Amino acid sequence: MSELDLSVNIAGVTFKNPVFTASGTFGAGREYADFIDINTLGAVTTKGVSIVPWEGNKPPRIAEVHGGMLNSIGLQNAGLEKFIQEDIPFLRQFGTKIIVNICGHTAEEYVSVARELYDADVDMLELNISCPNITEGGIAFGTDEKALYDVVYDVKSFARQPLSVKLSPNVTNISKMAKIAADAGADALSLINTIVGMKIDVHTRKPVLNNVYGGLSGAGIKPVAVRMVHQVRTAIPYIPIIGMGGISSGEDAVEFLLAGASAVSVGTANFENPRATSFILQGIRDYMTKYGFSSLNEIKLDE
Amino acid sequence: MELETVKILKNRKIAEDIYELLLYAPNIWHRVLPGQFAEIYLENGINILPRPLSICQAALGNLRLIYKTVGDGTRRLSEFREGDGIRILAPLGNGFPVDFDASYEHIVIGGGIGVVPLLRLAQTRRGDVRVFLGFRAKEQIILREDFAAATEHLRIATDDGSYGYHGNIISLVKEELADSDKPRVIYACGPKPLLRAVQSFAAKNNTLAYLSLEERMGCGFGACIGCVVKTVHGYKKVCKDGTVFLADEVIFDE
Repeated sequence: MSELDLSVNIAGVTFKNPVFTASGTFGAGREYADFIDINTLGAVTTKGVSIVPWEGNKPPRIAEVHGGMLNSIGLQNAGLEKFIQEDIPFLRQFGTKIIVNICGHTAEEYVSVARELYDADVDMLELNISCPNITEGGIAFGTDEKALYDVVYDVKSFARQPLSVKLSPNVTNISKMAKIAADAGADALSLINTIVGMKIDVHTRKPVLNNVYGGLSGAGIKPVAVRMVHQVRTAIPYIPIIGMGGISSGEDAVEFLLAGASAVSVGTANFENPRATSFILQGIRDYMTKYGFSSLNEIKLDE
Repeated sequence: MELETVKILKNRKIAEDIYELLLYAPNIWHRVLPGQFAEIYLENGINILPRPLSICQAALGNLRLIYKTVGDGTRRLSEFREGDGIRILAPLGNGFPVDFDASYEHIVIGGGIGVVPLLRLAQTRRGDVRVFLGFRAKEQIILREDFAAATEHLRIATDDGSYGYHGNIISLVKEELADSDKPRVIYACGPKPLLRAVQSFAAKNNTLAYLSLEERMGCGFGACIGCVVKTVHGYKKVCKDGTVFLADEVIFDE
């Protein structure tokens, strides 16, 4: 049997396989090195990093829901300086690509992060304009057409690395937002971020999350994510898509590839099983073997 | 820490809503420090987050965990049977400090289900160990005999007076702790009001105190930054920087 080719090229970057980690569920990889070989990942997408340290939201920040979870971490992170000093060298020990998720309260803050990363040894930037858990910035950019265009355009003007824009599913027309991001210069799109949700403790009659609302992730959001990937793929045939949302098996990953994603990111499944990424990669191999595919681009939707 | 599927030797009810889970974990038991915890994966597709459970004892290849059924996840856990396999990740958390020797007077204070991680600590402290445990009522008392075997100085309080001292455990601690010529160290675990009371008691008496905290967790190993507690050094992760913190560091919200 011939060797399977799992490599994928997105915006000029060649990834050894299509299994990435989703931002915010994997830190900068350190915590997972005990469970999996980081070398086996196509890419690590880091936890969102801002120009200065962010404190994040008050706890409780986590609520489990049927088959999924809500989070309202609020992008707690130690800031860009520490990230450059500690996290990039850590990740560079491994043969995996580094995608840096960048966040800000204002367009200027996003631009500052991209500028500071100009000389950094990272492979791609992911613009987080879809976090539902911060009061300024985040989702405000991802749900407003003008703000979206401007922030993508500005960041793209100063960034050296290719830019993937992580879109919010909390919009009426995802294709429209995707086109705006593409027109503004996005090299790729990451679909989807979490869906805004809420859980109430009926015994205390209070919201479970201190932030009241949080981002829903896990298996339940997968059909929404697959649909959005498919819509965007149909609307903009040329733009590479990194698909994510409720992926916990090889077959889940293949579903995204069939919908039009070039690669996938694994998020919440890492909590359900810290070795989820290796399990998913093996599942993709098994699928390809079963159907006689030798490379990823042979996996096509039968429409 | 190890992530593996282990065998259930026992999973039985020991008090109202409280269960004892005994696991055969030959690769894990010998690494467990007093006060550490285990994440238990239910793997049912519904409860996707692991359940953090306190490790009560670790001996002879076995882990003894004790948990309270508070929601549908722990209720489903209580339905696991002897002989079933269950995936766990352990040991997690920093555990209680073990460097204080017999020149110290060790004061162990626990409330409710929070007494669980203190048993192994009480068992391993040499010298003067005094244990104070508080429960709501007699029916909720757990591990009384285990603690009694670990120390001659066991005092139990119940809120309703149905067993032992009638009233708050901290009032009992205040009544019983006379001046000591030895330096003292307090180890505590329990509901937030208890920990807050221990914190202020320790501050007033210039006593070193360690608190084991609880918060809603995601991953259990420091990746998601879900289970934070406010400290004088900013937010810290309960699962990884704790669960045990120096009482002085912790900032309890009003």
